[in-house]
Amino acid sequence: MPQIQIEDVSISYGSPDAKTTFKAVVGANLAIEPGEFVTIVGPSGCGKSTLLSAIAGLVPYDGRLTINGAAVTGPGPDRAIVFQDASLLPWRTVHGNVRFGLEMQRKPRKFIRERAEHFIEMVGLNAFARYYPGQLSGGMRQRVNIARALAADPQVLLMDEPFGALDAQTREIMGGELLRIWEAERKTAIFVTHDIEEAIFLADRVVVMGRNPGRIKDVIRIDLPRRRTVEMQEEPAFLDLKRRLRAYLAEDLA
Amino acid sequence: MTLRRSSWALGLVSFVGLLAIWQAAVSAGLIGAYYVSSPIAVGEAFVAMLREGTIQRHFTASAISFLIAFAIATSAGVALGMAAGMFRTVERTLDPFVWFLYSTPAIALYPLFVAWLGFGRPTSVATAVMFALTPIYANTLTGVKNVSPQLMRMAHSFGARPMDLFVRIALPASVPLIVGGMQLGVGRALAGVLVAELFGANAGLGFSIAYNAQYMRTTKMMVFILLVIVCGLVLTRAMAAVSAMSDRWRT
Amino acid sequence: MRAPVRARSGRPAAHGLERWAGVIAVLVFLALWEILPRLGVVNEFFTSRPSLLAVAAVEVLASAQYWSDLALTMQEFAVGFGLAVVVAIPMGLLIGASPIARGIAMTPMMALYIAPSMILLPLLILWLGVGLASKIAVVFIASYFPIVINLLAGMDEIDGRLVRVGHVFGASRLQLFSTIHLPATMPHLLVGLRLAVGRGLLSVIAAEIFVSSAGIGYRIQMFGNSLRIDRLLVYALTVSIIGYTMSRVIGLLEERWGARSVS
Repeated sequence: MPQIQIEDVSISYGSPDAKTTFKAVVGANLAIEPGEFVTIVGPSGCGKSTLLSAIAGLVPYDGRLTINGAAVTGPGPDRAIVFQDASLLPWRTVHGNVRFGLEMQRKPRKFIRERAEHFIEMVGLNAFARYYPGQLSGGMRQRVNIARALAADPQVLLMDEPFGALDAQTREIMGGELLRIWEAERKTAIFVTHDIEEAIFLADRVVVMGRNPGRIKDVIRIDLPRRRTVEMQEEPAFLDLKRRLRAYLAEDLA
Repeated sequence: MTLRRSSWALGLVSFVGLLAIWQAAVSAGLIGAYYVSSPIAVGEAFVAMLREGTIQRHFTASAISFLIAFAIATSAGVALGMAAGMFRTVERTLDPFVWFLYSTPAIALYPLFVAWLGFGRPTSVATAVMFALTPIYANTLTGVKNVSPQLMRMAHSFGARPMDLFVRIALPASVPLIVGGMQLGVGRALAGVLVAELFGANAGLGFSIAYNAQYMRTTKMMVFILLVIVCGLVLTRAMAAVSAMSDRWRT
Repeated sequence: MRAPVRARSGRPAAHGLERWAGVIAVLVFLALWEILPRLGVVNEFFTSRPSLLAVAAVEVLASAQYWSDLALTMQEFAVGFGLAVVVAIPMGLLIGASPIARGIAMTPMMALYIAPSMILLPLLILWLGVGLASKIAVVFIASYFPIVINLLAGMDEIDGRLVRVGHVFGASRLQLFSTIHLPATMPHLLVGLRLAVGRGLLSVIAAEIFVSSAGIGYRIQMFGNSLRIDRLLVYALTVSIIGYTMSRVIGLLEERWGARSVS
C-alpha cells in the first residue's frame, strides 16, 4: 500500500478579503511508496511548493490526502520539512537549531542531545556545532536544515527547493550528500525543485507539473542505478531524460 | 553608532581641560564661586559627604526608586508589547492610551500623582514608570510584529504549540529590540525619578540638588549634579554592553 | 471534503471587533470613569469624572487666564527651542567638520545629552533668577544636545564612498554639501528635532511646576495642590494636544525628508 495517497487534490488561495480565489493546484493524483525518492519539477507558479505545503499540513486543500491511510489535518511528527536557509533560528547555534524539532516533540533532554549530535555528525558539521547560522556558509546552513528535519525522525522528508539559494557547485555537492544521507536513512523523500538535472539525479520518479492551472502533467520513472554519481549526468540515458523533461517544461513557457 | 568610537583619550583630555578651565576661571576671579563653586571645593565636599554617609544615603534612595520603576516599566512594557504583538485586538485596544502617553510629557501628570500618592517614593516611581513605559512597549511591539513569518511557519511545521511560538520564537526574536527599548527607558526612568525628587521628596539625588539649592549651597548642589551626570553615563554604558551581548549572534 | 487545516500566516485579518477595539476601549474607560465615582467605588475627589471635566473645560477655555498661560508657556518653549535650533545646527556642522573637535567635544556633550536636563534647573535659577530666563535656558539645554548629537551622528555616518563619487564627478564643495551631506544628515537631524521637541516641552512644563507664578505647568501644579482634578486634567490635556500636534508636524517632515529618502 502506498504511504502517501493524493487523490483529486485541489488547492486554492483566498485573497485576504475573501472575494476572489486563486487556484494553485487542480485535481492532482499521486501515490508514493515507502522509502521512495520523488522529485517535483515545474516552472514557477505551477503550484509545486503549494502541493508540498499541503502534504506538510500547512495549507488547506480539497480532495483526499492521506499518509499511512490517515487524512492530513495539520503538521505531524510523521513529516518534517527542509526549508530554505532563512528558516534557521539565528539566535540558536547549530546544535540548538537541530534540537528544535525534538524539543517540540517533548523528548527527554538526554535523548535530544544525543540525537542532535548524531545528525550533526552525519551532515559533517561536528566542528561547527557551537556556531551561529550567521557564521556559516549557505551550504553549511542547508546541512543544518537537513539535520534538523532528520533529527525529528519523520517517516517522510519534505524538501522545498532546499538548495535553491546555493551556487551551482555547492548545489551539486549537496545533492550528492543528500543522497548519501538518504541511502543511510531510507526515509520517503519528496523534493521540490525547478532544476531539471537535480530532479533527475536525485529521484526514483520525477513528477512534472505545469501551470495555468497548476497540475500534474506526468510522472516519469528514473531507472538509473542507485549509487548515483556525478559522472552519470554525462551518460546517454541521463541526457535522454533531460531532453524529455525540458521539452515538457518548454510547452508551458511557449 | 560610530560616535562611540571617539577615543577615551580625547574624552579624558576634554574632561581634564574642562576642570582646569573651571578652576582657573574661579581662581582668577572671573566668575564668583557662589555661582559655580570650583572643582577643588566640589571634590572636598564630595569626600566630606562620603565620610558622613550623606552621599550613600541619597544615592541608595534614588537607586531603589529607579530600580523599582525600571523593573515595573520593563515588565509591563514587555508584557503589553508581547500581547499587542500577538493579538491585534489588544494592540488596537491599547492604541489610544499609548498615543496619549506618547504625546503627553509625563511630567504633566506629576501633580496628579502627588494628589493620589503624596510626596515620596510612590510618586517618584509612578512618574518614572510613566516616563519609561512607552519606548519599551513600542519596541517590544515592533519586535514581535516583525518576527519572520518563515520562522513561525517552520516552528508550526514541527508541531509548535502557541506557547512554543511565543517562548521559543517571538520572544527570542524580539530580544534585540526589547533591549533597545530598555536602553531608551533607562535614561527616561532616571529622568523621571530625579525630576520627581526635585519637586518633592525627602531623600534622593534629585531632592539633594533642590534642597541644597534652596540654601544656596552651590558646592553641594554641584556634587549631586555631577553625580547624576556620572550615573547617567554609567547606566548608558551598561545598557550598551547588555545590548551587545543580546546581539552576539548577529555577525 | 475540506480538510480542517488552518493556515497560519501570522495574525488573522482585521474584523469588526478588532477595527473598533480602540474606540470601544476609550468608551469603556470613560464610562467606568464616570460611573465608578458616582457609585462611590472610587473617591470622586481624586479622580474627577468626564462630565465634570467637560464642564471644567468649557469654563477654563472661556477664561482669559487660560490663554495667557498658554501664550506664556508657548513663548518660553518657542524662544528656548528656537535658540537651540539656531545655535545647534551651525555648532554641529562646525564640530562635525573636524574629527579632533568631535573627539574632544563628544564626551561632555554626551554626558549632558544623557543626564536629565531638569537637574540643572536649580543651578540655572541661581544664575538667571526665577523669571523667564531660567525657563528659556532649561528648554534650550534640553533641546540643544539632542540636535547636536544626532547631527554629529549623521555626519559621522556619511559614506566616504559617496563623497568620493562626488569628487570624481567634479562636484564643488558647495555641491558636495547640498547633494550629499545635507540629504544624508537630514534624517538624523529630524530624529534630533523630534527628541528636542519632546524634551523641550517636558522641560518647560517641569520648570513651571518647579518655580513660577503663571503658565500651564504652574496651573497644573496649583490645581493639583488644591485638588481641582478636573481643571488639572484640562491643563494636562492641553499639554498632550500640544505634544501630539508637534510630533505630527515632525512626522510630516520625516515623511518628506526622513530615513526613507536616503535608502
